[in-house]
Amino acid sequence: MRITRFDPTSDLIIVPGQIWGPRGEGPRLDLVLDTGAAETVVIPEVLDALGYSAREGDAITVMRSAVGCEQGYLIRIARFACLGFQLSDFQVHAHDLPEGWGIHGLIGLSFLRQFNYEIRSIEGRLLVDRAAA
Amino acid sequence: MSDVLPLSSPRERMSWGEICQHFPGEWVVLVDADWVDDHNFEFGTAHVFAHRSRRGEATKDMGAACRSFENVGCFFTGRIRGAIPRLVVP
Repeated sequence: MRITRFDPTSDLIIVPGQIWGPRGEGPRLDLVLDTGAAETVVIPEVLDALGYSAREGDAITVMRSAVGCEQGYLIRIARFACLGFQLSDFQVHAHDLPEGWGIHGLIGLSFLRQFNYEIRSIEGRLLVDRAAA
Repeated sequence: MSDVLPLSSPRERMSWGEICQHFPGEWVVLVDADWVDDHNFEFGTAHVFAHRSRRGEATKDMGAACRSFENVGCFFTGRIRGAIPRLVVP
């Protein structure tokens, strides 16, 4: 079992993550744990810097909001690490997040469903175990 | 090529086909599109606020467009081709 600590006083559960791409190893990312999100989201700026682009994506995606309509894309990334585990050839959703959050993405169920996890909010700890096959 | 059109310049309205022709394989930030409805990607014409080669570069343009226009969008004019194999085993 891997244990990841987070700030229990923060409005969001922010955990560190990392991505590798065609240009190598990326910087440490601040990612929000979001059990309400189906996909794992990474902002395009991070993926651009690592050499990924929509041309190599799996699909173009669309999100609508009150102000308009915005496209992003789904792309498989070489390696994704978070919560003490690494996945290769992992699909993420490249899309913007609201300005001012200061985060690089969301950890959604596409990542989380591969594990058993326990969120201990008062202690500020996440206990994560690889799900049995 | 990437560019942001100054807000004060007269901007020609273009259809999606014309936008794709002018800015192939780029991310375009569109403003004032006359959407047919709220559920489909279909509009008559729109102004191109900015066009960028990388999606991340268009993020800031989206922020600027949102501050000046009520109806904005960011779209890719290119075609995805899927992942390129990065390791070729003979």
